[in-house]
Amino acid sequence: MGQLSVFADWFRLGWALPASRSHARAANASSQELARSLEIRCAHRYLAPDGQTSFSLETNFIAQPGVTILRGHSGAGKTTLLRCIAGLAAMESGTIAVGDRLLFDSVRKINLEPRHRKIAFVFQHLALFPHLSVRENVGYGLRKLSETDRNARVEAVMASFRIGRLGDRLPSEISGGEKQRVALARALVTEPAVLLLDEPMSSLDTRTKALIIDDLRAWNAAHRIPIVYVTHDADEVRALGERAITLEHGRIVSDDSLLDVDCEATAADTRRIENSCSCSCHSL
Amino acid sequence: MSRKLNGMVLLFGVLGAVLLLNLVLPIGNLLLGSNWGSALRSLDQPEALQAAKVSLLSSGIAILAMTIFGVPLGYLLARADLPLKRLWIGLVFLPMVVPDLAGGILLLRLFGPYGPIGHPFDAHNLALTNNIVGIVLVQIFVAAPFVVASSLASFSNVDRELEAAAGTLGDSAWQVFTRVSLPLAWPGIAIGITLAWIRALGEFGATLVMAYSPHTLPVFLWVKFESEGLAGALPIAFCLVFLAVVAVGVSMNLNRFTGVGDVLAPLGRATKWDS
Repeated sequence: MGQLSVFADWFRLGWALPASRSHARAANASSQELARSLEIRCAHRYLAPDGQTSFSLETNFIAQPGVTILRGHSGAGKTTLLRCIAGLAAMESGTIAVGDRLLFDSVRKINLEPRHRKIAFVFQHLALFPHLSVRENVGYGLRKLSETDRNARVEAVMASFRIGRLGDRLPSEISGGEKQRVALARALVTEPAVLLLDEPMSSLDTRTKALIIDDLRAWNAAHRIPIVYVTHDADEVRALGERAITLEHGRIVSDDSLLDVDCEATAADTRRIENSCSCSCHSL
Repeated sequence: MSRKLNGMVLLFGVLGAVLLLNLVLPIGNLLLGSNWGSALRSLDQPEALQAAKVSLLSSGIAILAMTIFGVPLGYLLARADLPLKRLWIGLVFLPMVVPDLAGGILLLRLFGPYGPIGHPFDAHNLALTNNIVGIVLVQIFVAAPFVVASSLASFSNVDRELEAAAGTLGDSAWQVFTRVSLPLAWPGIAIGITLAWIRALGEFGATLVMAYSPHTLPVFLWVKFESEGLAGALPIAFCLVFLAVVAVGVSMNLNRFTGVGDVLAPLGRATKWDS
């Protein structure tokens, strides 16, 4: 068990993030990483049709470059939080910033539209455009580029996500894992400042998940932007997460490094962590 | 289970067939029992050609106006958080259930020479009745609900997550509409536009009140029936039914020509992008 902890710690250091509590992590982060961090101070209320408050979200945290896992039961506010960050849901008060770039500030009346936030969102059901080919889906967000530049970027990202041969197919003509890769490629080809993923692999089998996690991990290692990843899946948490935040009724009830999460794992889970750790190290 | 299902299918088949025969027999009897060559030759007379021109021109203008004004209204009713939304939707459907003659009288009261809108125009020698403008106004009144209702239903069926995704990928609201919402809703809207065109082309009762002349095909059909009886009216009826059959055929196969999807999708048949 002790050996495993050392191993897990070494794995985490390999991801350039110390295994410690969030406040210590913030103190130790390089200024370059802080300049790219996502800072959220969010207060959001959902009003039921009868006019009574049925849900409130009050969440403050800083997501540094790397993968921050967001966990919690259904209705805890995970998806609402992502939608607030992306500008798809209206916040009542608070601030959202990436580095020193304010996306939302209720006091200063700043509220950037989703299209100006440079935040990529991979939805739970992927939201691939059914009337467009895979190539058109991937290049959707590159409308402002010249055709030559757009094609070059699209081909490059499709190759890196191993979907190059699917370019002319419609989303309905490819498998679930391929759709997942298309959604990731479409989100990342725009070179976003932040990536949000809302249970993107909930419908995939373990082997497909592992392959896509490898792709995402490699992309993360190369680009290092804040990635907020909502999942219930313990394997995904262990394979991707550098930090795990747990929400309950719209509030953060725990904010742990992966080590802390590991400590809660059962012995059986621990063996799987070991496997995923060694797998991660190889891919890096 | 299988036996029960077969019994049910048989029962529904018999019930459906009775209704289908009631719908198809009159049209089939006309199309199969007519001498096509003679019918077409009968159309080759100045009054009939003039009526056909008036019908095609007026319905063409009307369908253009209905699309330009009706599709945005359908989108607003589907997506916008409007006050009294149910009331607006009810008002859109109202002309579908108002009897044709009553509709004509309502329009005449409004657009006629003594109506609140018609009078100022009439004072400047711009009559809104008994001309092509009057016919277009009638056709819009009776047929626009098809365009608005189909747009409303089609936009409501577009997954909001797709529109949200387009927004996060850099699209403005207008770009989301033109690149995502409209292409996905188009198959349903197209069927509404086609039905509206058929409705406009066949409009008779309100037109009779509001714009008796110049004659549209349905009014000319009435005139022929009154003056010459069944024999004189049959070629015109044949022509109108033939146009309607062609229009329905085109609308049901629109995806083959435009490549934008299947117009039958709103009726429940799986589209090629359904997974």
